[in-house]
Amino acid sequence: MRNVAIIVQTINGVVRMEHLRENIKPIEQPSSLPNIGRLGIQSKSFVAIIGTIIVVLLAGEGIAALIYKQIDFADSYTTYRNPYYRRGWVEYTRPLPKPPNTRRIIILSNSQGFLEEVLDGSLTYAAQLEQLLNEQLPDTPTEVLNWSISGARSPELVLLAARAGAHDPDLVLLVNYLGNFSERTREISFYISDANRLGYMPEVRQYLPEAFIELHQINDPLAWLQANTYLGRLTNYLELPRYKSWSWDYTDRVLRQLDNSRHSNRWNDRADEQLRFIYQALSNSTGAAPPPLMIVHMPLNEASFRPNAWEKLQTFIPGVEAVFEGVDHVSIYDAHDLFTPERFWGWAHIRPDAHREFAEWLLPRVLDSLGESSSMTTSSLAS
Amino acid sequence: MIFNSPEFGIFALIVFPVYAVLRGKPLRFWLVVMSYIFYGWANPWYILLLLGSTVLDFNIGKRMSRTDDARRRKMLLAMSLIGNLGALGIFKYSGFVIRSINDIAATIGVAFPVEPPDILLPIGISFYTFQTLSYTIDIYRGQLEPTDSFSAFALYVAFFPQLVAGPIERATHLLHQLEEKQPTTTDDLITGITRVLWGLTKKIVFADYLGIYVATVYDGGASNLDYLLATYAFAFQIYLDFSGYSDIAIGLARIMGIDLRENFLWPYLSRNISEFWQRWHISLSTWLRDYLYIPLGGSRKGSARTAANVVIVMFLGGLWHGADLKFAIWGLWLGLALGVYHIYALIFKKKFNLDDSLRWRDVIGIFITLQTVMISWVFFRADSTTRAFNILENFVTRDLRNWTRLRALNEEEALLVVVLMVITFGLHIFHRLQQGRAFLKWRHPVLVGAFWGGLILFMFMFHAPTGERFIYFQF
Repeated sequence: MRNVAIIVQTINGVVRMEHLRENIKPIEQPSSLPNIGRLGIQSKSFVAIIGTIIVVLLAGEGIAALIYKQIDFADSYTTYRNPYYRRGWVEYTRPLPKPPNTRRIIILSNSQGFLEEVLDGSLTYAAQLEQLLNEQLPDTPTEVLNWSISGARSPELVLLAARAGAHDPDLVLLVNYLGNFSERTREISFYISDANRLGYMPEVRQYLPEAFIELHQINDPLAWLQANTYLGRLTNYLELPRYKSWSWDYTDRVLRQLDNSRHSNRWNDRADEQLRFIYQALSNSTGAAPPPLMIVHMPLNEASFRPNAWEKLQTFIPGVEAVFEGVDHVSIYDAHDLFTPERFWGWAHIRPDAHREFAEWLLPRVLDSLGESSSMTTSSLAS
Repeated sequence: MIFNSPEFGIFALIVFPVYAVLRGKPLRFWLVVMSYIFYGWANPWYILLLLGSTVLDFNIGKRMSRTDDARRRKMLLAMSLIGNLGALGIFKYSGFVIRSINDIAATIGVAFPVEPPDILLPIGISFYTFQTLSYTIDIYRGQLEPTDSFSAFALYVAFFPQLVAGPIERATHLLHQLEEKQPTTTDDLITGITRVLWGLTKKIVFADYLGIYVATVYDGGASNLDYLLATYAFAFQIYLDFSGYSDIAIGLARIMGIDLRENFLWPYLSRNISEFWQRWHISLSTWLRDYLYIPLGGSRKGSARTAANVVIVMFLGGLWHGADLKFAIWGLWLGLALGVYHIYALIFKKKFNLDDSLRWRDVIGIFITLQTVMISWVFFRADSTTRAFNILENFVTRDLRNWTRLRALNEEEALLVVVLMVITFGLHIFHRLQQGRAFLKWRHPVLVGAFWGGLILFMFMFHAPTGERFIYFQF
């Protein structure tokens, strides 16, 4: 056999081309087999190669499916927050049938709701709220699903809102602040949590506003494959988390943006658009009778912000009110100054005891949105 | 346009089918047009620069061949040098020079009211400038006959597989292949595609993953242990990134039946620094040798002059990489190491052959060479010269705790970095030991398909979450 093209040698860059040229002569093709143009390969060989590649890929997909189905993924019903940190949003938010006479509340929030500083997720205000609701209304079990993404940006919240409908929620809580609404528009792959995979899943994508899909360029074929194949999902599961290189970069960017005097005291125009997207995605996914949407300005640490940034942050509530003016089932609450600076761990993360207190603050408002009356007051709970 | 982008996938799907049906001049014309589209994708104006360089050197080459008048030939060569290096100087070095003058003026308290120009560096300018210069210099030296075919020369300057980051080709090697294009053989096609897939794997799996952790350390605060790990990781990242690019370039050309020069031959198994430069970025190091080192006198004028020549060439080689003091120091450090080695080799009459088998006693040489190169990578990767010196200073002055704990990376990340480096170094050793021997002779379509399918699967599953540009695109 005269053909000594050596695949692995070639890989290594081992082959001196002079050596190859000496040893490789053009192959004389049998005339009965047509070549593909000037690319010197027989059609039969070409078909065999392509066929084998397809078989290998399908076999890989089959093996990945077998492995993937053996993995016991955590879900938002049995855990207090996404155990995969910023990953795993496809698995964590997969819907389970709603038991009869049960209420569901979904919380869309950021790192404050995630409470990354402690390992025990039952200390999050979402878990505390679930406990309080079940104590308050023992005849109507309530499931509070904590969909808080550390480092969340508004496009990720839109995707989660589109996912929410499949869970048949009775209430959706959006607990955020202006910093989650970036003024820059980026393609969806930019956002660090893999909530962006939801955008490629047909069951979620169908509820996304067209303008949102276009704005964030949710049209990458490779990302589609990763979201819709077992190989892609398994890859995501196997990927090592990167803890160190995201959060504070993000914070710095937000603070720089807030400090920029050109933007001070001005409502972020992109926030208007993104809030509408969240609302549209939620309404689309929940059908004719959308659940109440409760928007809460999250507690913030005043000591962490410069005066003009602090002032700008307070435009969040008026801005939200302007967007949802005249919309019945949207209620808006302001908790930005609920806690003094010593109740915070850093610039915006409240401590576990403050989580409890925040849950108590939320309780009567949640009951009100659910059409229930609270038998306990916040102060009595606190005492 | 970059190789690891969806746009390039579409580009390739257009280029190759048309390539398969064209011949002769139309084929060259097609490849020139597509190469220009490839180059001008980000900024079409830079095509004018490429075209200008092509027209200049094509005409100078022709005129030079028509005259025996040494003075006129020299003048024509000077025109080519001024034209090409002038463009390179304006686009790449003018800002650096003005900033340096400003700094010096500020130091001595003199006002220098010139602002550095805000010019975006045209991608690949350092590569194609050297390539087109070698054409006129070879004609001047009488080593090459100029081509009569403008389309062949335009393709030689702009050939898209190697336009942006090499290998830097020589007209003596590439031009005649473009003039008399041979059909692609089955071997060309299989070898070419395999090499493209392997280059992509090196880039998007290994190099990009290492890049994430290198950036985590170098762009933030870190301990000595972090920096040590990240510097080694960067050494492998830049090797995998650049040799991956070269593999893709060589593979793409091979699919078209064109043979490009090798650019890397397991450099981290070099037994001395001189051997390293025969195995690392070979197309640049041989260019510098042929067009700078030898004209300076090479090794013909005594040991002191040889060492000085080496230092000068490496210093300029460093500046070729970027208009920044850190690259100059990078080149200077390696130049000094080369100079010292040359003197050592002369004194102890040390000679080596590139093809010699490795022996156990070579481990010491390999280790010393690796550490010498490692120090140079600190300058290459750090944001600035000051930062590079700080990192090196910390290596010496910081207490023991800084060597025993990780700060920027967590243990999982550090373990992954080590595993990736061990795999890369293992492949290095394996390939080096296999030098010149075929260990897989099969070419059965099913086996080829299985191998390609496996590589595609591997890339799909294990590609790094963030796609990075090739490092050498900035030069």
